[in-house]
Amino acid sequence: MGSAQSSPWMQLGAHGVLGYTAVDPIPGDRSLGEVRLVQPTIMAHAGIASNRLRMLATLNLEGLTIPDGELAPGDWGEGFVDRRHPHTYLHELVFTFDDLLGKADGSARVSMSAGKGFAPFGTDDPMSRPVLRYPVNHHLAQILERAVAMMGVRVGPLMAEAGLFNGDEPERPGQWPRVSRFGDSWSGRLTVNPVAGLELQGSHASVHSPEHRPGAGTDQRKWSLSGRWSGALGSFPVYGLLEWARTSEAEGFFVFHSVLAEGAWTLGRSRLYYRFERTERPEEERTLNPFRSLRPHIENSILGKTRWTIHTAGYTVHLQPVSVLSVLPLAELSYGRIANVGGGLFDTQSFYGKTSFWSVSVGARLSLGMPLHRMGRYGVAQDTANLRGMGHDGHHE
Amino acid sequence: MGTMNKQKATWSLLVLASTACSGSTDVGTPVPTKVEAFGGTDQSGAVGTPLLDSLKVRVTDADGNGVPGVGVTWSVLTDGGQISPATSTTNSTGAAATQFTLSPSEGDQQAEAQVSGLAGSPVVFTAHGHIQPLVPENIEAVAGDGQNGTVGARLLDSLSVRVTDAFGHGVPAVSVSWSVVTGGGTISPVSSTTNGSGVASAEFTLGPLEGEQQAQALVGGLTGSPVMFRATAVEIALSVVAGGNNVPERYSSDLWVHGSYAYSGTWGYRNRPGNVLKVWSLDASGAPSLVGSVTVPSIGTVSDVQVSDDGQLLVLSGERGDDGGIYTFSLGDPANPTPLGSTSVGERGVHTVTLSTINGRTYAFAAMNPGFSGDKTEDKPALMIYDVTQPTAPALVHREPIEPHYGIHDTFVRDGLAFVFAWNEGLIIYDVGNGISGGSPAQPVEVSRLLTAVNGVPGGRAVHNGWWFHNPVSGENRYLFIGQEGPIIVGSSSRGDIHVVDVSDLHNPREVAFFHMSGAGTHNFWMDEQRQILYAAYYNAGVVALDVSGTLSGDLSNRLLSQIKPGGSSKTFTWGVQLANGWLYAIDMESGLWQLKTE
Repeated sequence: MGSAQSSPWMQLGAHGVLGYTAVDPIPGDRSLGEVRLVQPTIMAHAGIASNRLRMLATLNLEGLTIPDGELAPGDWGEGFVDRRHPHTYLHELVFTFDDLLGKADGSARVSMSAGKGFAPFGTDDPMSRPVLRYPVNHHLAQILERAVAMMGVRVGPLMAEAGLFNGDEPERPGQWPRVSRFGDSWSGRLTVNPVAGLELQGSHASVHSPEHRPGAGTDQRKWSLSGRWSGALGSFPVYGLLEWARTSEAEGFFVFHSVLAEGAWTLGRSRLYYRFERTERPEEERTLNPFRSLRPHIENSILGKTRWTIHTAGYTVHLQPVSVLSVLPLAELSYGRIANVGGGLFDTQSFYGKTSFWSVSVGARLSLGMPLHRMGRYGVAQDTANLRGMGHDGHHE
Repeated sequence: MGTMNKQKATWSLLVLASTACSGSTDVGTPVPTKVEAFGGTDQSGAVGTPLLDSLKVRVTDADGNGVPGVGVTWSVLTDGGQISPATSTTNSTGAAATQFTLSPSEGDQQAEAQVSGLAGSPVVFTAHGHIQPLVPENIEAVAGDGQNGTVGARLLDSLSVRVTDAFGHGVPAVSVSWSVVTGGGTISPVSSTTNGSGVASAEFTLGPLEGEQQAQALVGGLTGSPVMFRATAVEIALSVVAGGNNVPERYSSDLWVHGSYAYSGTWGYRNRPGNVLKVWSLDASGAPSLVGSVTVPSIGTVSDVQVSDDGQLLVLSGERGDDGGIYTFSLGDPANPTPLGSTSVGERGVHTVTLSTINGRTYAFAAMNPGFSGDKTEDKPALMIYDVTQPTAPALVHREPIEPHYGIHDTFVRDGLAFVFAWNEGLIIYDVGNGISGGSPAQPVEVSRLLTAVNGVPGGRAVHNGWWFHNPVSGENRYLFIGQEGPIIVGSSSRGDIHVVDVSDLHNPREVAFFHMSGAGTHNFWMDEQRQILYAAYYNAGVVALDVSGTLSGDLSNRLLSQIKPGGSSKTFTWGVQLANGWLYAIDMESGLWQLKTE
């Protein structure tokens, strides 16, 4: 897609992971296993006017397949705890006017993008990364499903993006961003590619009342630094990501940190991958359903803070029964330790019965047509988004 | 709204790139909003001479903080007078002053201070110019009567009298003699002279014994002399008597004590869900012992508990479950509350419930949480008013929607007025039977509302709870105490101040004072009105006793009488307090029900 195409074009794709996940423990010192279809997505990308006008759309059907979330110890956000929330049906719909100034800006390129999608902040959406399990830091390291308007400038190896968006995060799959709040939050991201395949980024965001839709909640200040490498060792494609994220809320009363490192190594049809993560999360008061926290908020309280240290390793093999269909059977194992940090009533041992957990997933990724793109990259950032950059078909740039 | 969105969009495009580089938004710079008189009012002086005291104003921001560097323009409204300087600038406390020289004409004369665009501007000062010397006729107390104080300590407020002539004009330069009448304290100075407004003051230091002590101001020959001042010497020292660590399986929530029984709620999830009402027997010494538990199915928190004045009815509110709402119980056998009725609002739940008898009927004022249906109107939090005169079938008589700025947290009902504490919507006062605005429980009428100061607490005003103080000593119903519930790590840390609002004019409440405790935030109150002491649960700071006698103004940090963490430093997170049977009971989320003594 990064290549110039003078005639109108469109690509379509679909993706999903059908699998079984078992976890021990879940709240109450029990174990649980589930078969679910996760990440069911339909993508459409199109361009006209020599690719200067583009559309990027991603539908996500998790509201139908996992309305109660995906079993994932440590994950949190949007009212879910220890289950990753379903995304909204319209995950992305972003229109881009690229190369706004034509030749007037010399070697630079300026773009403007608007629609619903990711704010220019942090790292790629976990859905488009090798590990199936979402990291605990999803809500520290990405800002997604907002009404966004952004500009980007690329000059040689440097790229700057800035965007405005609505601070409110979605509360359920069918919900739209609150248009009246558009512009109450902003973010900026600086990216540099010092050498081929290496991408360094730093970003900052100011998000107003993300967890209270009417806007009376506390604000967040978010920071992200990361280095991403996509290349090869010998003839074997390799991908690596190292990231640090920090979110401060309520003027520093609540602060959460994350460090994450992940990598993938592809040998022929096989791929091995591994992730290490150490992330702090808030422990919110839960409803009688131990996987849900209270929404809407009525006060600014949490029960404490926990730190999740997780190792995840996995293996996939790439099968292609027909040219447009990829099937990647996978097996993934996670082990994590949970620690109370920073005080509060929440007690890991009494709530889970343990201070460590295991989870295992087996299943298959199914990909039809166009593979997953790097979600959250629009305009001038989109041409770093080689469709196979770290896609699940086993290839790398 | 459409226009606003277009403006936002235009702005968005223009500043898209630059915003990413700015560090933060609107930090620090106070914005002046109000100007008011700060001194020099109601003076008298000889014509053609400067008044004894300067005219003073104070400029404040929306949170009541003084704003420095604001220009004030002074002018004389009466021909012939002079003012100097004609302009001045507010100092670090927001105050500015000038000197007013009266005209040669006898009678009332005026000057004013103007700050364009501020509420309260212009501030008009009236002074009385006299040709013949004023003749003092009367003396009366103007401040300082009825205060509490610690044994052996100086009262916080000065004792003040005003000397006036036969027409009510303050008479300057009159010598007033001060002396202690009872209690063995001291007063200083023993003689003072009235200022330009006819006011003289002295400081009263209490003697060594608890109880009432008196001092007097004397000017021979004046009507009203001597003026007597009463003060109460108190010795508050909170300490644990009994109880504690008695609800190990659950976190505790609200408390109500009636007679020889106490009832406490439970909260969230410890080893068990907070779906239980605990019943406590209080023995002859006041010590609590657990005698029973009542489980309320399909809720996860008993968020509030209250017993009717006659002790026959208990009502609780429930949330965190499918059947949030209010539940009524008979206390025919106070050791065994028997379910009578309930009304459910569903999963959204009810945060607090307050009983009040109005025109012979009993009502429950319930704070319904915001909902989650997707319907903006339906989802609004609301004040739900139920007639529970027949407690087997609570009947909804009114639903008053509150804007969803987190919602309504608590309601204090007294004298037919409902004080609604609605988080960032602030304080809302409704007439529900008082008569001031013709309201009733079925048709509440809003009297006024107030946004209290943020005081630098993250999360905003967070107006949570309150108590309307009826002061039997002064006879005033002047002050409303409001709790601000800032951010919390439950069991560990909290923020939030006590705000004092002067509601002597219910149509125009105004914030006058605050109490701040570093590193902790306040929660529910109880008031010893006779002794003028406010007891506040203060989460990780335990229980706090404040002297709220006399005039309350500004920072009340010097009114802290005593503090205790009943569960010690590691197991104290106190939810509420109640005075009963001569004891102070405290309910702590971690360590349960405690019996405390206050002295």
